[in-house]
Amino acid sequence: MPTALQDPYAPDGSRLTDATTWHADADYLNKLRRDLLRFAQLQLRDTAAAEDAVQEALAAAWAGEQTFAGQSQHKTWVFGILRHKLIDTLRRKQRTINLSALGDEVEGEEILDSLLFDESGHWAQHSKPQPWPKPETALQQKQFWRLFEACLDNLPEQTGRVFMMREFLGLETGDICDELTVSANHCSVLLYRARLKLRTCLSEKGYGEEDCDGKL
Amino acid sequence: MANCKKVSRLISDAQDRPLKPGEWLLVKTHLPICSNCRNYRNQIAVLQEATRQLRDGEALSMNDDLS
Repeated sequence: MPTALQDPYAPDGSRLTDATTWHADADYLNKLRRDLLRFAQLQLRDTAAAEDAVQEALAAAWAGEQTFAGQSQHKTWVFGILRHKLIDTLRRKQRTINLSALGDEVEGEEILDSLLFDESGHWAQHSKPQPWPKPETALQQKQFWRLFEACLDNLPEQTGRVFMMREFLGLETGDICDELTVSANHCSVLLYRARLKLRTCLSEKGYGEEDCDGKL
Repeated sequence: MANCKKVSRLISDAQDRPLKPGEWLLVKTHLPICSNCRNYRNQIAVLQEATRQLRDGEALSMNDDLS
C-alpha cells in the first residue's frame, strides 16, 4: 500500500500554502474535482463509481486537512487520498472478476505477437518503433496527452485493469497476481501486452511521426 | 540468442522486477545493435513518466483544457 500522505513529489508552485482555505476557493475546487473525476474514470470505467470515489476522497481530504503538512502540493496530496479509495473500490470489484475471461484475453493476444514481430522475433517491417521525443518534451505536448488517454481507454478491460493497478495505483506485481490469483508470469505478460498496445496505439494514431523535436 | 521479442519483454519486466544477470546481459548486448529496441525503450520511458504524472495529478491535460 503506497504511503500517499508522504508523497515524495513536492513540486514548486504550490498554489495553496494555506490548506485550510482550499474548500472556500470555488475555482480551485471545481478544477480539482474535474481532474480527480477524470483520473477515477480512467481507472474504473464506471461514471457512478468514479463519482462516489471522488466524493469520498474530497470528504476525507476535508476531514483530514490537519494532516496535510504542506510538504507536497495540495493537489498531489488529494490525489494520494483518491488512489487509496480507488484501490478499495477495485479490490471490491475484483471479487467479481471473471478469471476465465482473463485467460481468454491473454490467449487471444498471441495474435498480437505475430502482428508485431516476424518469425525470427524481430520487429515486423510496419511495426518498427519510431523515435519519439524524450519524456520531458513529450509530456509538454497536448497531442501526446490526448492520444495517451484515448489509448488507455482502448486497452482490453482486464489488461487495462492490471496495468492501472500497477502503474497508477502503485501496487506491487506480486500483490496484483495474488489478488487475481494468477501466476507471476501471467501478470507480467499482461503488463507487457498493455505497454506494447499503448505504444502501438499511439504510433498508429500518428504520434511521433512528424517532428521528434517536440514542435508539434 | 536475444531477439527483439524477447528483449522488449525484458524491458517491460524490468519496470516490475529486478532482472537476473543473464537477462541484463541479453538486453545490454542487444540494445547497442538495435535502434528499433532503443526507440522502444524510450517509448516505454515516456509511458512510465506519463503514468507517474497522471498518478500525481501533475499531467498537462489535467491542468489545461484540451482543444
